Amino acid sequence: MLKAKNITVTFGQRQVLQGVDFEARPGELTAIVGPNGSGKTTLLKAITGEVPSTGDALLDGHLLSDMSPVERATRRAVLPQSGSVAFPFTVLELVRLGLTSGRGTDSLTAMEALPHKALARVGLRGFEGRFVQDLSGGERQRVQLARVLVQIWDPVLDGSPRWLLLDEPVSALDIGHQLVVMEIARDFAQAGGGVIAVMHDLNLTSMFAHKVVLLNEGKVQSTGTPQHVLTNENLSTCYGCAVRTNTPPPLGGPWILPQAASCAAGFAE
Amino acid sequence: MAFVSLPAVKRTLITLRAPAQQGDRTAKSFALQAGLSVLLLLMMLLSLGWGAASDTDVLGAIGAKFGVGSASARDMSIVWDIRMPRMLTATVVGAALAVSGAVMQGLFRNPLADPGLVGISAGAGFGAVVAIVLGGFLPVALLGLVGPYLIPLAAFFGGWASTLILYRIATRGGRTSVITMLLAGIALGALTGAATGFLVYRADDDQLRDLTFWGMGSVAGASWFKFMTAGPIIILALVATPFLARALDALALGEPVAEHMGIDVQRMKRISILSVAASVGASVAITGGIGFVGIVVPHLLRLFQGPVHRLLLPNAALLGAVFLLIADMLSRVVVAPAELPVGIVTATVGGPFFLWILLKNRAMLDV
Repeated sequence: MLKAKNITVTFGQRQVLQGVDFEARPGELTAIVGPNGSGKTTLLKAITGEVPSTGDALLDGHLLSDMSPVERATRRAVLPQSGSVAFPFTVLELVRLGLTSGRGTDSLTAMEALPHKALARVGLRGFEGRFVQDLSGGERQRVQLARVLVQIWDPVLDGSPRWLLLDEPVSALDIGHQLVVMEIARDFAQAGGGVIAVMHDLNLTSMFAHKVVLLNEGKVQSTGTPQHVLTNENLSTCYGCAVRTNTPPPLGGPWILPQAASCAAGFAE
Repeated sequence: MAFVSLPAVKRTLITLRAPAQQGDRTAKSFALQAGLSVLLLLMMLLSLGWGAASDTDVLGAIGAKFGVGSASARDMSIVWDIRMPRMLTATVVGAALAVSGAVMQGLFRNPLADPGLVGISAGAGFGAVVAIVLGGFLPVALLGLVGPYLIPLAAFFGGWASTLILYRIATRGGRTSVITMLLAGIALGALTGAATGFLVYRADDDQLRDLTFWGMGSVAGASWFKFMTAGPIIILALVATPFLARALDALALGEPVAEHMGIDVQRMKRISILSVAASVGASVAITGGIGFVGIVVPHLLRLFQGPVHRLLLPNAALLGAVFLLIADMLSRVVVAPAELPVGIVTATVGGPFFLWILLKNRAMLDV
């Protein structure tokens, strides 16, 4: 269980998060959604310790901030929104950096194979020898995901679930690869791991998330299943535009069509 | 539950067992390492036989030292008293400068960082000058305690302080600004240069001779005594760097990511800065400021074998040593019978090289 209690983050004068409570269970994909500036990424960064916050982030009852960096890295991996790479690594060299920590008992053969398995999983088989800086934005995002997967390949280690924290994992991807990445996240959760993903795409969220946390102006607007959270009323309030949700039969979750941006000022004003 | 971090040996085995993989430059790097090791031995031997007295029987003198065969007293003296300490000094200082450059570049996430360029050598130099000129004012008890280590220690503290100041100025929120780093380096260099200049005017004749000689960046004044005071510090600092390799790799992805990958970033930064300051400080204390080794060597190696530090650092030590040995041999012949300070040779090679890197990385600076 990953829990954040009463998280408040202040940037200068502005409170970006105001006493947010958050909970995610292993075996589930928990999506954090909300409009620009609602504090989605900040909440994830408060949980990873990347931005200073008041309040506690707990993993299975233990404060994350009390764990050693190696222990944290063994229990959870983080995919940042964007990342620059300072030197010309090849794809294979970069993905191998994910082998930073792991069990001493893993066999060499298994560890050797891991980066290749991860690259195949994100659809980048054959990219091993390419230079990271020469790849497209979407390819780079998937290389980083492969590195993150290598870090916590087994969703459950020694009986404890491990966690995948993803900050907008599909933002640079085409629709095919969006599905590939969301399926990886869902499979990780179904195998017993925990996944927290900051999401922009409400339809993908509806399709893949078990639980949705909707943020608005630094507070939790609504929490629960996609059906419960992604309603006309909630979405219109938070996003400031009319939406129509619909539930096509094969999906099971609501399907969201934006109608008109009623809140935005027109050119004439 | 035991969380064990993966040891370097195991990582090397992982990459070595499948040497022909695409995108894996481990095998290439090991081949280079073997080649450079042989080349280094050759250059060390060549350096012992190189110079005005070219008829010296080097192998004979080495053998005689260990009781095999015999050599003339003149040859013994040339090889063992003059050329051997000079050769060893060039070897360790070359290795130290190249490895420090690679560590600095990893730490600053930037291929342009170099101890000489950003004022660390100048800071170390200032420390050494303070020790030479003002050392006499220290209490006798303290002088007795630090003894011959006074100058290396002072240089270390000078280098350490300037690295720390530089890092604090150039890094904000985990991001290092290249422009701030280079400009702060210029300011630091100017400041320590001025302070050094001030002290030079306060120096007496003996001290002045020390200062002038040492300020040029030269291995010509090497002696067993100097080598024995600075050598151990340098070797100790070099031995620490392989433990930084994984952290430096992770840091290439940015500080937050390195932290997520299990690196204690603050701790590795402290160790990196200490190791750079120790090896640069000790080097500057015995040879003065020799520039550009730290930028030329790691850059060439990265082009050939990639940036993975576990493979880069050992080869940087080897190539750095080879580079400075060759530069030293050149410095003995280009204006023969006189000798150039080796710093002039490295700057002649390194200056244009630095400009070339600058042109290639121009986009990075236009922020």
